[in-house]
Amino acid sequence: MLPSAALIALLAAPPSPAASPPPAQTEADEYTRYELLGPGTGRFHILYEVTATTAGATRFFNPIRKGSVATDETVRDRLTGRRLPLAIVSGREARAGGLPDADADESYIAVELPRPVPREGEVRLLIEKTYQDAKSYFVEADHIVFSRALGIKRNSVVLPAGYELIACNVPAQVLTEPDGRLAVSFINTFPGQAAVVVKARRLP
Amino acid sequence: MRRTAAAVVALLSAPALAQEPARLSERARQDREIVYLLRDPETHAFDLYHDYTESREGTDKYLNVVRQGSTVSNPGARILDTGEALKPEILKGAAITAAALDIGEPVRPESEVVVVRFPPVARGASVRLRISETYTDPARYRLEGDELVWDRSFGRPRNAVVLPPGWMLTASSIPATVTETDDGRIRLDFVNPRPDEIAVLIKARRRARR
Repeated sequence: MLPSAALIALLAAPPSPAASPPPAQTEADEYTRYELLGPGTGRFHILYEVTATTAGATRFFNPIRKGSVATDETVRDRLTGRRLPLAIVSGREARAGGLPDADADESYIAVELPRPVPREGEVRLLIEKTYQDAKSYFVEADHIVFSRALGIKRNSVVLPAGYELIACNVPAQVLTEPDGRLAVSFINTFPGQAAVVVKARRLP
Repeated sequence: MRRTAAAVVALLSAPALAQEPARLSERARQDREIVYLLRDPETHAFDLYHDYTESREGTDKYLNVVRQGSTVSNPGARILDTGEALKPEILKGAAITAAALDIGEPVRPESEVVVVRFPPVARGASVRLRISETYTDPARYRLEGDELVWDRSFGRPRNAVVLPPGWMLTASSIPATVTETDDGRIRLDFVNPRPDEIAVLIKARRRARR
């Protein structure tokens, strides 16, 4: 309970000005893993690691790229591994929530953070979703093609099981996953997007 | 004879085999990064902070073995996820042995390690730590004439070096992006996508006073 003097002071105070907009969203340490699903389906599963770094922020917005149909969205707090509540919101809502450059025509995943981002700290998230995007992932002659401009600097593309890598236009590590799938992994050291093209062919 | 030859071959190739897991780990996903903030080169001292994510279940401490030729002071640590400050300690020689710490190499009298303890990592969870320290390293960070010289190798994918206030960059042996910090210092960011070390040689000189 408030002491009475404080209560009077509170009642006498002028009405509070309109709430100021939340500070602009900032993020760091992004890494994306694209797992290519059935060839011909245009579907790939995305695991996106991102760190919210705006001190005090309680929500985080992640765009759903135009031209891609997103399903199966989940978000986890990487500190605890727990799932976090999310909603799909409009670009307008994302703008109001701290993403001033949000595209009004785009949809966003709005994540409720498990705790406000601490000062000089961060909240690490794992965002998973499955995209269907036939322009990015398609079959061409006897092989599959993953062709996508990637803005995130650290990425890997995991081929479907039973496929060999026949082309990759950016210098990349090639690694074998524990389950036998091949992964192509790279860091883009330049400021622009990387227009990545990966091609793979089914093994006989 | 053939058996002996085979044994020799196996022996010679053993180190390379032992290194394979490290060489074949996914570089893009490695999450350690270090920022070095240089003090005036006459001091041979620099502050650094080092961020990394621990995700091995049950792990409850971080050991930073101090590089030979360097000395460490002012250790600090925090859990970046929560902002919680941790209390690191510096152990030397016999104290390392007494604490039964495995530092991954034989403990010598001059061995030095920074120990940061934190709650054990739960299954499916992880913790991101920031460890800060001040290093002094007369061999690798020095003044030659009127020129600042930083000559140190980096093994992590991402490192940054911030020059002391009032110094201008004159050379960097390894490609870096260059920015100016809010307080006017020059910062070099190094990204090495390959699983090897880069031998970074930076030179700088004092700006003329305006």
